[in-house]
Amino acid sequence: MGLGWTVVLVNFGIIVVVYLVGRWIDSFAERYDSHQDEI
Amino acid sequence: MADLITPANLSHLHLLINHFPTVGLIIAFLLLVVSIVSDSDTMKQDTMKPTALGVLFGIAVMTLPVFTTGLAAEGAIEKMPGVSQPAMAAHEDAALLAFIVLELAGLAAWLGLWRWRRTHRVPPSLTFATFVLAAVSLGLMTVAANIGGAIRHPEILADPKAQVARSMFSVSSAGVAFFVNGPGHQWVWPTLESAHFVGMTIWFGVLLLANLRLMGWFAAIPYPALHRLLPWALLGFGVNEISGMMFYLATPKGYTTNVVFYWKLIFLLLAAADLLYLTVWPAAWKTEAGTVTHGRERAIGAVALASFVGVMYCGRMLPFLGNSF
Repeated sequence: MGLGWTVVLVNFGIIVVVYLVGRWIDSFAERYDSHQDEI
Repeated sequence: MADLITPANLSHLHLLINHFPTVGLIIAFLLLVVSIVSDSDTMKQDTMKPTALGVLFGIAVMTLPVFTTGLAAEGAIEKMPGVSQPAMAAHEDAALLAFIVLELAGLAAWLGLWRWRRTHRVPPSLTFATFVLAAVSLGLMTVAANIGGAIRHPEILADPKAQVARSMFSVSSAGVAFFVNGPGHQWVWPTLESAHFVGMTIWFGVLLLANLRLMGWFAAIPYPALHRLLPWALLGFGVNEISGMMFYLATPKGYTTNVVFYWKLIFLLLAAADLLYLTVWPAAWKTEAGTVTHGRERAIGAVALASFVGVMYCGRMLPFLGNSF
């Protein structure tokens, strides 16, 4: 596989990982805020 | 400032600021312990705990220039007589692991602060995670500092003629450099560059909005709504710190002798101070919808935005105004 495609695919993977980690942190924060609303 | 970037000055700077992750970390850890064991709810939640978490976050931020000036100090003294090369390599690798764990402790401390600002409580699980990471990083930092002392002080060793052994608690910085720059790894550098830009757009995007609100823009948006987005900014910082440190470890001399890199570090510290301000300061937090901001908040927002531009400009100019790569 060419260097260019390797970079493109790994970059895409990094963006997906960053997105998933961000979603995870965000859902953690959202859950906590919702919990506060109940209090 | 270029005249100040001399090997002697950078070594001196490293010896000065290495007290942050050693002595400073002990103080932060003790503050955290007191906030945990205290019987007073006010001490636990209102005063000591946010103070301990804030100090720990600050120590984690300051450890970045400590690590980078360490490699500059190595370049300054590596050819001097009486300097132990194995001790320097062992110190660097032990410091790298201690640095990684301390950054994780700083991340946990920041999350605790962020949640404290929103609810006035830090969940026990987060306090426990911060305590464990701080304790482990304190132990690792002690190992790294102890080896660092042996570089120019063989008299403190039990056997001054013995070689300083590499700590089992370490990460090979040469291994990181090989991963980034080794044969057949040409894809790594451009990939890290892209990741660096992804991280930058995330933190810059979030902090731009938060600081513009402080400066009086989007008056209809309550600041707590923007505060809700700050964990995304920290995620972007994290991506940039990992990718940036990999660049640094792969080509340290392109940075340690580069005045633009030190400007970038200064702007980065200002940006981190702004993140702390945005996270906990009451003046920012109380900016409700329709609230008009005043001089101090506006000035802080403007300085922060200028420092972000400084970080990005210096990063881009590393090879042009400086001598990287």
